[in-house]
Amino acid sequence: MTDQVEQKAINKIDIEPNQKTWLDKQLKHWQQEEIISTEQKRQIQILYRTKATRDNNWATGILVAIGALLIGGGIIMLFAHNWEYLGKGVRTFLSFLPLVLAQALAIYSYKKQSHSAAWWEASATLVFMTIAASIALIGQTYHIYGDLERFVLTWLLLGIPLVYLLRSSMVLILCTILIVWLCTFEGKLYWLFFALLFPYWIYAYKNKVNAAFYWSTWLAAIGFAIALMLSSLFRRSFLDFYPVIFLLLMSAAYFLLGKILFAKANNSFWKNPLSSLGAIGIGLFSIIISSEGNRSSYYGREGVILNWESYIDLGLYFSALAFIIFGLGKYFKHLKFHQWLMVASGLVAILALLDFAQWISLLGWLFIGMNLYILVCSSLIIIRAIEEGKTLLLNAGLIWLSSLIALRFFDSDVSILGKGIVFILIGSAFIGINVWFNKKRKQQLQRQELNHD
Amino acid sequence: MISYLNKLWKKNIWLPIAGLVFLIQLLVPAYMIFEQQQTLKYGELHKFKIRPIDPYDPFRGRYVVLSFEAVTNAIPYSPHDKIAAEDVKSAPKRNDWVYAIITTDEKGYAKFSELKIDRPKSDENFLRVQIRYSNIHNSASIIIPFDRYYAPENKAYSIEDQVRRRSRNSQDNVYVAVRVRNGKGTIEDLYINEVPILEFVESNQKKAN
Repeated sequence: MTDQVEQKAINKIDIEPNQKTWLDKQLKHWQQEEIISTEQKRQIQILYRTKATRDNNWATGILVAIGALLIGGGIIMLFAHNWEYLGKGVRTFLSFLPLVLAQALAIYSYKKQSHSAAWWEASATLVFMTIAASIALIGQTYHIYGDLERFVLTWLLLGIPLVYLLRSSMVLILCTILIVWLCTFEGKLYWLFFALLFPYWIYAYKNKVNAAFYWSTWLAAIGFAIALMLSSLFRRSFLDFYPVIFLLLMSAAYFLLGKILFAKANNSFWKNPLSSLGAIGIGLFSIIISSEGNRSSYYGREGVILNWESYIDLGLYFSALAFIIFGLGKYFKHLKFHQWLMVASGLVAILALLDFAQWISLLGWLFIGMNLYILVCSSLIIIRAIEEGKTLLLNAGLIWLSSLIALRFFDSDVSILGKGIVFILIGSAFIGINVWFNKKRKQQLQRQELNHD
Repeated sequence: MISYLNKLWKKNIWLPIAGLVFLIQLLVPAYMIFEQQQTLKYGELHKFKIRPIDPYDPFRGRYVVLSFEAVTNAIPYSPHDKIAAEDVKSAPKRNDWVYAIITTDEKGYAKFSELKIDRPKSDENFLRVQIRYSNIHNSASIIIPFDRYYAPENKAYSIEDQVRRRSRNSQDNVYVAVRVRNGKGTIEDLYINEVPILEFVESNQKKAN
């Protein structure tokens, strides 16, 4: 008997702490009423176990980390005050003191608070901020050049290991911000720093460490796109030559990647950052392409600089395209048709390649294709949303479709003749889809009735 | 990859790696201090004439931005580099690094005589600088790296004010003393008529009271 209970104890049932309190109270009561014996009470208690409240733990963690961020910022500002009456020696000592203390706190967190996300997050954030304080104070003491790029770069390089050492989502977010800053103001290939954060992201994804995972994924995905595009302006690479097409390609790749990685996310908007962001991107950039046709770069084809930095951009372009072609084939059955079509929007990138190679340029016609594409795809989304009763999806489809129609109506770029043709096409396609959809519905209903009979 | 990460948090691996990372985090600022000290100690002294303005840097508090007379005009490339600089592809572009040779004018202030693309020999006085923009006539405008003087919050404004007034007045000499070593320069102090700026401002404030 006892053996059986011990056996069951291995498969304990997880319950919330308040449920446990209630259970203990009731057991005590039953025992007093002599419904159960002390032994039975013990056996029942063995069956249950309080669930580890990781989320709560994490919520405290992020609050404490924000606190640490504020304290760190405060330390930087205290230093920025510039205490001229302190000698160079004292200031040198002061610039190391907060950093050393924060590092000591990190070691303490690791040794004594190994299960507390709060301690880990807070100490990582503090170390990260005190690195900046330390470098800034030294810069101030010695009037070291106002080279902000070098300052941010040093800060970033010294800070990135903290993401791994202390599993810190806050530092991950802060590093993302620094990378975006570098790409926005300095260009170059700084977006490659995202590669250093990627292994941790995979780890967090596998372990679903906490809600911060979704936060940081949203931020990192947006940050990566901004960083890449803005830095490409600086190096006048191929990406800059077809910016909107590349953004559409990237959105499609994000969308597909999200659908593959977060397949179990129950289609939740928030919990699938990559797909949600990709869908927004596909909607936005397809509308832009549908409006302007092909507006080539300011510098023209000759302005595109082909150096190794550009080749890395090109490599990225080809990998995204290859990923999409692979995904379209492999996941044809897994994706719903409208989702598959959304991924297919990335194929536009092929046209850009053909145009760049000067084999055949279809970019002039692209806007027509894009109009039809949005029309079909958004209609399918609306239909799907009605069938599945999904409000968010329905609204997304409607916004996409209606912004297309509104824009076409007010477009001044297209000649009246062109406008007329496009409108007739849009109208006929719209009616066609509706007729087709109704027929399908009727057939479906008839089939259902037959089945019932 | 994940298994590597899981190993990272084991005690016998985490502690040495964390120790190493923390040590590097301390060594980098320490090296920055060391480099500055070396320049201040062994660097050659040059006086640069200046005119300032005063913005606000959220990271580093109040400072006075120094604008140098020595870089008012574009600086020519050295005859040796002229051919290279004329070629569009090899010509230095914005933010590229070049070497500016420092000489002294008749009044004893520093000026830049020419720019070199390759690193000069160590017996020459030179600064490693970035190009602001290149001109067609074999010359370029450069960015001086030591362009800010950090000042106490309550004194930055009066420093700027003094320097602005004094630098317009030809009788006063406003300059920064810069130590230069191996292409790097560090500000020693900012002077008005041979008096360090903080002393000058303080004595002026006392006079005003």
